Amino acid sequence: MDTALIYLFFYAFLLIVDLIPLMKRKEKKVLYLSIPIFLLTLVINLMASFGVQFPALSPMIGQLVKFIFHMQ
Amino acid sequence: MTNHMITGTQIKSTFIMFWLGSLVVLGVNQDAKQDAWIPILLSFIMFLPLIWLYSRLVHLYPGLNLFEMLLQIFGKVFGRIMAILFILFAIHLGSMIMRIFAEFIQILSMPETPQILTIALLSLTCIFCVSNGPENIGRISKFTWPIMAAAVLVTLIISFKDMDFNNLMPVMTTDFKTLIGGGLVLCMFPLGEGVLCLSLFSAVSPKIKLFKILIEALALTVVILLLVNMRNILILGFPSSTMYYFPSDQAVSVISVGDFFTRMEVIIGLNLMLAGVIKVCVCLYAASLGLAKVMNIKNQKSLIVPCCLLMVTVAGLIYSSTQDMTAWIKIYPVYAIPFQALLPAITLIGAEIQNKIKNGGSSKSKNSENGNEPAS
Repeated sequence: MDTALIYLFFYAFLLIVDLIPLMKRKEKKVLYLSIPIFLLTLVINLMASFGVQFPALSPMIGQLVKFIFHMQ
Repeated sequence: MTNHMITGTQIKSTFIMFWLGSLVVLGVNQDAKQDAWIPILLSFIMFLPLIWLYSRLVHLYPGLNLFEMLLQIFGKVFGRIMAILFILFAIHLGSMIMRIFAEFIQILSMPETPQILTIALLSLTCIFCVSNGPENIGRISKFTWPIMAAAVLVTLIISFKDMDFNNLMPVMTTDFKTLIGGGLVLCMFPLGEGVLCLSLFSAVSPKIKLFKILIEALALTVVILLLVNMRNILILGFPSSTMYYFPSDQAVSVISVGDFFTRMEVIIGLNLMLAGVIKVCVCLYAASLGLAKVMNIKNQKSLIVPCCLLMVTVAGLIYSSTQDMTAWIKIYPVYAIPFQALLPAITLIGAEIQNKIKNGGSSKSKNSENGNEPAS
């Protein structure tokens, strides 16, 4: 719960400082990229903070690297 | 080009801080045991070709950054593909540093505090730093590099009484293959990561002698690494120095002056904070600049926050534990070869070919203007 609160404060701060000014400036191209990233990362981070287990990225990349380079 | 230029001293400091970003805390690869100082020295020689590569690229395309070079050399389609690869690498590297930062603080100082708090505060600092432009990164580096060097020197001098020089014995017992391997690992982690610093070069003064500056930066980095590694081995010895996640912190925690001056390990935290912030800033700047170039957006600053959010999220998901982090650091040099050696080499080959064609074309047109046909 603490973690989720920190995420919410963090995202709220960035919303005020970055996203709302972008909306006011009507930078459409940037907004098409920013809003999905903002929402997607918020959902992932909140899910992770409520205990949803996501696979760790580095071990997966590590497996791929080991497979490609025939490492032990 | 931006109005404010990064000077030679500033870019030198930026490279040093970027290279030392995480190594002053993690220490170097310990496969060479007490001979770890030899791979550090070898890495200086091994990295010279990449220094030449960076200088040559900047010489061929003065005033352009990495992504502008890629688009100019390889065109819109292939250039964008290569730019996307560098963006992904920048985001991954930035998130790795953020996570090391968070792990360090959680393990050693604040075990009850959630890692996201550290990561959020670090990312806010980096967002504001990068928002003020690349020259701001240069200025901060120039200011913080002497502080970090002084911190390393102070810990080295004060720890002199705790050092056991027998820890370096026996010398040269490690086989040559391991020594060369250790040198190559250092070239990839962290020296080769310097390719991302090329994204700052649209703001660097074109008058600077880059090769000389990079050699100086590399020499200073190697000296600092050598001092840090020697200090850790002389205090902790081998294999004790390999038993800790953060050997520098452990080595410095032993140091005390009398009974009143203890807990010197806070200096290691300071080093990580100074150099780590610079490294994340460079990664964040590279990622946002690359994304702006790929998407043809004029204002790179509006993409800083989305890139930072991606870094924060990846930093949370990148490892499931600290053991994962140390296991990944062993695989990382192999993973990084395409980004740090292969892609820059392909870029240079493309740049040389384009430059030759351009020069051939210009000399041909000059000759035809003078009425001389070039000899076939």
